[in-house]
Amino acid sequence: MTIACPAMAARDDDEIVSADPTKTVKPKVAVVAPPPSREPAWLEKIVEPFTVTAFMQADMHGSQASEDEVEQGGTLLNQNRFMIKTARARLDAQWTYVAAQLEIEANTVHAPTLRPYHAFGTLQIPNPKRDAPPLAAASLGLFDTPFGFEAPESPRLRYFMDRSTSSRAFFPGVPDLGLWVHGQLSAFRWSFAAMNGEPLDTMFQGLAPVSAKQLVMRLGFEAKARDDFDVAGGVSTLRGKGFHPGTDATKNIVTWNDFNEDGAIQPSELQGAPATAAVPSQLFDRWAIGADVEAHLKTKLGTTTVTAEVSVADNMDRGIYIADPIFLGQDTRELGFHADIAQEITKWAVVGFRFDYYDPNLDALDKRAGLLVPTKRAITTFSPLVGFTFPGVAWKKDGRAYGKARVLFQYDFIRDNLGRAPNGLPTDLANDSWTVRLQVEL
Amino acid sequence: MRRGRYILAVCTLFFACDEGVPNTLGLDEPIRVRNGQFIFGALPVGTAATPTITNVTVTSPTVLPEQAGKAINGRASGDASAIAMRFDDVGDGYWVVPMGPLDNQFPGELTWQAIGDYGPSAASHPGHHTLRFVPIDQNGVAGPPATIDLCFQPQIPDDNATCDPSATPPAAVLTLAWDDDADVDLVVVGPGGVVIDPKHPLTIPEDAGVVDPTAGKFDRDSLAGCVADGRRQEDLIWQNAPAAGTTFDVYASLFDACGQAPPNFVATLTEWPGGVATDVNGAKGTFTSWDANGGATSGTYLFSFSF
Repeated sequence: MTIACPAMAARDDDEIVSADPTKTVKPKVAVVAPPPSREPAWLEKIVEPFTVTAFMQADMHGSQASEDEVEQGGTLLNQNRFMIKTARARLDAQWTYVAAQLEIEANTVHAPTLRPYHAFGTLQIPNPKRDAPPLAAASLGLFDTPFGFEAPESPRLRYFMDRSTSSRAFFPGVPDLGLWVHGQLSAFRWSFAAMNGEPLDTMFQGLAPVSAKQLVMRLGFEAKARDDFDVAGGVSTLRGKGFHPGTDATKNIVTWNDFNEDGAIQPSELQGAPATAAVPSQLFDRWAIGADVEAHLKTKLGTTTVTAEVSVADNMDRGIYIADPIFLGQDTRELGFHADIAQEITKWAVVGFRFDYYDPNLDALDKRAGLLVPTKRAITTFSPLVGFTFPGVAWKKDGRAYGKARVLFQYDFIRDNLGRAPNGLPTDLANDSWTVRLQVEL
Repeated sequence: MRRGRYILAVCTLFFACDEGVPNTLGLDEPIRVRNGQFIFGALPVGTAATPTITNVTVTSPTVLPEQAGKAINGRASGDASAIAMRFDDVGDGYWVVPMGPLDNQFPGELTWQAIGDYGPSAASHPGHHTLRFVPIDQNGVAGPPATIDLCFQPQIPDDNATCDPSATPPAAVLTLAWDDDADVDLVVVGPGGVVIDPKHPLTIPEDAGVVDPTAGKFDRDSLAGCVADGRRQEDLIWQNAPAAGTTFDVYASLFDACGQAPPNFVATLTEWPGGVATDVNGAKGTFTSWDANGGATSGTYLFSFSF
């Protein structure tokens, strides 16, 4: 069995960091011919197809919006805390025509949680090129929704603390259950998936309230223009059905409204609410279109990574301002965009900056003097980042150092229109945040 | 020079922007306006002649302990954009509510509404308080203020004596309060071993439908059946003192923990000598998980008192 470190391999071996989570996790460092071992040959043969990788992210987080209080319903409002953002262990199995992946995640984001994160099997037509993605493959199980670049990108590879706001709104969790066919032809990448449409961290995570499947497509490319320059990009589409759950039948009830505010019941203050019939569930359409581009340039200073992605969507917000046109009576159009740059400074440090824009409702209205007037609900985030990397922290083998740790600091300047100024007009809410992260990977 | 401009632009972008209004529920404030924005500090001072508040209406000037959903309605001139409000003497900031629609009955005037929840910090400042309103236009210019007088009733019922000087407080009130959503009962054993609790709410049973004027009476069965009512308090109220020498033994009973941690409790006996509320006796303690008795016993003995 070999222990691999894809992130380090991507840097050391000039691999393009791929959005494809099934892309080999056996980089060159992992397939270096095993040294003479005392293990018997039959055991080596059994474990040779397997690769184990693991990483964890421990955060110290602070926010201006934090309050030592509970919201109605019991949600804690304190955001100044330590937490395990994610800790994952992943087992990959790779044979000629068959592959499988099982990844388990633990975190304390909402509560201590241990759950399957990826679990899928793959039938594949192997690529003649060693360690390249298969020419064609079909996967069934729990895998990342193949939309865009950022959503399925492993957080192990991303320097920034979290995905962009729009990505977190559209995909509160990225993995979902479904069938995925994908492959490559030279630099061309293609991917089609039919999924339940309820990814992790949504209301019906892991389930399927709607029989119609969410269809996702991504067409893209990955090209090595020069030895020191890689570029990749693609366009993605998603179309599916949202679910507006119905309600149960109710019994007759009596309600009391203290109209005269004396704290005592008068007969005129009692109102009967007759029993009501169950209300059927309803479906609605949702879709998204996105485009992304990524580039890596290696210089003597270090690797420069530039990423940009834009998404236009309809009723896609499932995580932040949950879109429900059945309730609202109109579709909700969303727009998301982000552009990131991360500059490695030798192998020891990194600096970065992200511009992130998300408008959860392009048709938002605000009540002013009894009139509905167009307003902006957009959230704009400026995120400078600085970090230090410590390669080779785990062990040395065959002259190579394995394992890596890094410490990152990111400050999020968040500008929005979620508050109200003294004149009653929408204004910025004080909700800047910062995070210090220790990431350890094996 | 150009570099300096860039630095200034970056600084402006990140650091010199509006720091934003606070993101707080305002639960520590005496009033929380459901449809409003909370801002720390003093009310804007009205320096202009307009906008103006033309009307403020409240159903009752009395605020019950921890009262929720108490609406204040009003009107203001058509150039108003928002109404800011706070109490003159309590609280750390003010609330802003945007103006509502035009009032058809008063042409040119806009309506506004503030739906307020009054938290424990209101009940802990019983008495009269001035609630001040300031109209503000779109440019942030504040007009002349308007005020109303609201009276916070205390946590321990006093027959509105705090708010109405002509009202007479009860002879005595025995109160049991606790800090968790558990079904706790105040239990009192009176002369002859008569047990009085929320299910037997009179110290002297009715006689042919007539209640003895010296009988003590419970005001509620808080958290009965573990249904949260936000009160966590029961009061036994004597409007008139019983015969001198009448003695009562006071118990606190954990009927059902309701799945919560065993609560802490405080019992107080309040009288109004000279019209001033005074705690004349009391006890405090903590239940343990095995104290839940389902009403099988009177619970934990606290103290005894005599009239």
